Amino acid sequence: MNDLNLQRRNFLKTSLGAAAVAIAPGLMLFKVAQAKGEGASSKVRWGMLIDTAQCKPGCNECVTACSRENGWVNENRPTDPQWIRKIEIKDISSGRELSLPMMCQHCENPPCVDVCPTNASMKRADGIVLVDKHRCIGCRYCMMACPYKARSFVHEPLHDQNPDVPRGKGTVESCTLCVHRIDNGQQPACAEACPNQAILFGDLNDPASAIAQKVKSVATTQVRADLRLNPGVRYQGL
Amino acid sequence: MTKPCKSGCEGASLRCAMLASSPTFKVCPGRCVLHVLRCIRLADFFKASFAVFTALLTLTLLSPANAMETKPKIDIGKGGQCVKDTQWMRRNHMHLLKHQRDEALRKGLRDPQISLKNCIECHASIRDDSVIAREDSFCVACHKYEAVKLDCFECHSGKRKTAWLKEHAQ
Amino acid sequence: MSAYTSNQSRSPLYYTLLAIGVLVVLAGLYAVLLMEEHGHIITGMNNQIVWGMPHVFAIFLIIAASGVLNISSIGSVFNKPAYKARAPLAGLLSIAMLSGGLSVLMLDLGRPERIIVAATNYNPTSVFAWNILLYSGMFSAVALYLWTLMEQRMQPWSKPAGFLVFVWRFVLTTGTGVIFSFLVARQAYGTAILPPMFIVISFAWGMAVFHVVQSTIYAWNHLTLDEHVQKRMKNLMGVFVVAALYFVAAYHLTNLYFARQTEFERFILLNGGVYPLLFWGGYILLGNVLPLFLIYHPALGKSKCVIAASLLIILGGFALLYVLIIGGQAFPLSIFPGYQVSSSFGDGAIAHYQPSLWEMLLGAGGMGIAFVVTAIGIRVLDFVPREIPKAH
Repeated sequence: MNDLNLQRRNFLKTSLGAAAVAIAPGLMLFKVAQAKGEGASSKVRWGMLIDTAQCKPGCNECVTACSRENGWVNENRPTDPQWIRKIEIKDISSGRELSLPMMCQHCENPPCVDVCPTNASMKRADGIVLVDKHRCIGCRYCMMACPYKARSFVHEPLHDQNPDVPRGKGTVESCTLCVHRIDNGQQPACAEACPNQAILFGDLNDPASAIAQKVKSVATTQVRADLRLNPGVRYQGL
Repeated sequence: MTKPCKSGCEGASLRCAMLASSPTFKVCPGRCVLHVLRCIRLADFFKASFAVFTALLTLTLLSPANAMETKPKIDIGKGGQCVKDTQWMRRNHMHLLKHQRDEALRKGLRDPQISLKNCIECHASIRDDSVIAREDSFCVACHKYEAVKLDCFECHSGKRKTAWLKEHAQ
Repeated sequence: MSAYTSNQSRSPLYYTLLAIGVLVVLAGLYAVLLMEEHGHIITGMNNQIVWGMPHVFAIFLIIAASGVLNISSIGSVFNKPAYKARAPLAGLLSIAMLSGGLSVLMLDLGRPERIIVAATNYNPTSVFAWNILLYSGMFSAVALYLWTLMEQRMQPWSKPAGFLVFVWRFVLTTGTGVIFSFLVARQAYGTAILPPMFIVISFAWGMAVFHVVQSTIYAWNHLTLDEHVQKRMKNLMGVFVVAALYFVAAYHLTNLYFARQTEFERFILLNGGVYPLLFWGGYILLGNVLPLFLIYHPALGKSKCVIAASLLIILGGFALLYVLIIGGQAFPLSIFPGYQVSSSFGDGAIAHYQPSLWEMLLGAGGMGIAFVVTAIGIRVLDFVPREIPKAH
C-alpha cells in the first residue's frame, strides 16, 4: 500500500510538473500579448448603403479601388478573383435598367459561416464576415453556399501581396469590408473612391451615424431578403 | 494443415480461420510468406520490431553526422529587440505568432508591436527589404537549418511595408 | 480443392491488373502533386464551377460505399442467408470505395496539408465537419463488423455490429445528401428530397458495384452463381433502380411546378446542352431503361445481362451526378429574381466547364485506390462468398 501511495505521489508530481512546463509559455505570452484597445465589439455593426440612382453604368471606380487596395487582379479569366463587381441589371417585365456594385453582403446569418468545417469563415463581433486563412483548407463549400457569389478561390501561387492584406493560393477570399482600414479609422476603399458618393459606409447600430439615419428615412432593400440573412449591405432604388 | 501453426490457438483465432480458407495457403503452405507471417505470435512480432527500432535509433544517435558544428548565418536586418530576448524568441516566437494572429484576426485586437508586419519592419534585410528572399534572410536561415517549413509567406508578404509602399506608390 | 489450383496459372494476370491499378493511383497522386505546386489553375474548376469531376467521382464512390453495405444489412439485420454469405465482400468493397472517395475529396482541397486543422477545429453547424466524424467512424464500424463476421468467436456479435453499420450508413448517406440540401440559395439544391434520394440511389449503385465485383470474382475462380440467388439479387437491384428513378422524377416534377424553378429545369432537361444529353441519354436511357430491360425481360436476365445492366447503372450514376453537381453550378445564381443580369464575374451567364486531364486523373486515382484495396483484400483474406460452388 505504501509503495502504491509512493507511486501515486510520484506520478502526480511528474504530471503536475509536465503540465506546468506546458502551460508556462502560454502564461508568459499572456503578459506579452495583452493587447491594446478593445478590438471588435458587438455594439457596432458595420454596414453599407448603396444608392443605385447614383451608380453610373460603365463606371468601375469602386472595383478598381478595391483591386488596387487589396491586391487582386482580374483579367477576365474564370479563375480570377473578384471581390467586388459591377452588375448591370434589367427588370424583365418593366425594362428598367440599373447598375450596382455587388460584394460580400456581410450577412448577420451568413450561410458561408454555417457551412465552413473549420470555422475559417467567421463573423467578427462587429458584423464583418471574414475568412481566417490560417484555418481555411480550401474546400470551397462556402463558395457553394453563398447566395451572392461573393467569394473567390485563389487558383494560383501569389507573389508580392500587400502586407496589410494577406492572400494565398488554395484559400478562399472575399470582400473584407477593408477591415485593415476600418480598424485604422478609415473607410473601405470602394466607399472612398466612388465619384458619386453612391456607397455610404458606417455603423448601423449608431443612431447618430449618417447611414443609420438614412436607412431609417428612405426605402432600402437587401438583396435576396427572402433568405432572411439580414445582410449589412443595403441598396436604395432597387 | 501440413505444418503445425506456432501460434497454438488451434483454429479459434481469426488468423487461423483465415489460413484455413486462403487460396494462397492452399497452393503452397510450406513456403507461403503470408503463412509464415500469419503464424508469428503477436508478442514475438513486437519483440522483433522493438529490437530493430532500438538498433536503428542507436545507430542514428551514434552517427558522426549528428555533431552540430555549423550555425546558420542570419541576416537580422535592422536587428534590435522590442518584444523579448533572443533566446526566448527562438523558443517561443511560433507560439507568440499563433496567439497574436487569432487575437488580431478573429477579435480585432491588433497590437502593432507584436504584429507580423512589425517584426518584418525591423528584421527584413537592409539589402532587399525581405525576410525570405535569400538563403540567409531572417526567417529562412533558421527555418532551413531546422528543416521546418515556413507556411506564413504563402499568404503574408515577406517584404518590409515601408519598402512595399514605396514600390507601389502611384 | 481443385477449384483453387487454377489460380496459380492466373497469377501473372492478377499481378498485372494490380500493377495497372497501382499505376492509376500513382497517376492520380502525380496530379495531386501538380495541383499542390501550381494550384487549381491546372484544373477546369473555377470561381463559377467550384466542384468538378473529382467531386463527381468522390461522391459516387462514397454513395456506392454506403449502398453496397445493403447486402450485408439484408444478411445480418434481415437474416437472409444468401446475403449473409456475401456480407464480408460487401464490407470490403465499402471500405475500399470509401477510401477511394475520401482520398479524392481530401486531395482536391486547396490546402490538403491542413487536414489536421480540419480534424481539430470543428464547426458544429457544418455538415462537412460532421462528415469527417461520420466517414472515419464508418471505417471503424465496418472493420468491427468484418471482424465479427470472419472470426468464429465473434459471430454472435455480428448481428448488433450489422445493425450499427446499418444505422451508421443511413446517417452517413443523409450527411452526404444534406451537403447539397443545406445550400438554400442554389436552385438545384436546397431541397429536403436529396437525402432520401441519395439513400435510395445508394442502394441501386451499391448493388450494381457488388454485382460487377461478384461476377468478376466468380468468373475468375471458374465458379457459377446459384441461379436462384442471382435471380433474387438482380430483381432486387431492379427494384432499387426503379425506386431511385422515382425520387429523381419527384425531384424534377416538383421543381417544374414552381415558377421560379422553371428556367432551371428547362436548362437541365431541355436546352442546357450537355446536361439534358447526359440526363436523358446517360441517366434515363442508359442508366435506367436499358438496365431494367436487361434485368426484367423474361428471355434475358442471365449473368452476362446482369453485368451489363450493372455497368450501365454505374454509368448512369456518373451521368446523374455530373448533371446534379456540375449542372447545378453551371446555372447562374438567381441573385436578382425577375431581373436580367450581366457582369464581369459571370452573373446571369451559364458557366462553362472543361475538365482537365489532372482532375480526371485525380478521380481515376480514387477508383484505382478502391480497386487496389479490393484486389489485395480478396487475395489475402477470405472474402469470396462461401457457398457450394458449381465448378465447370
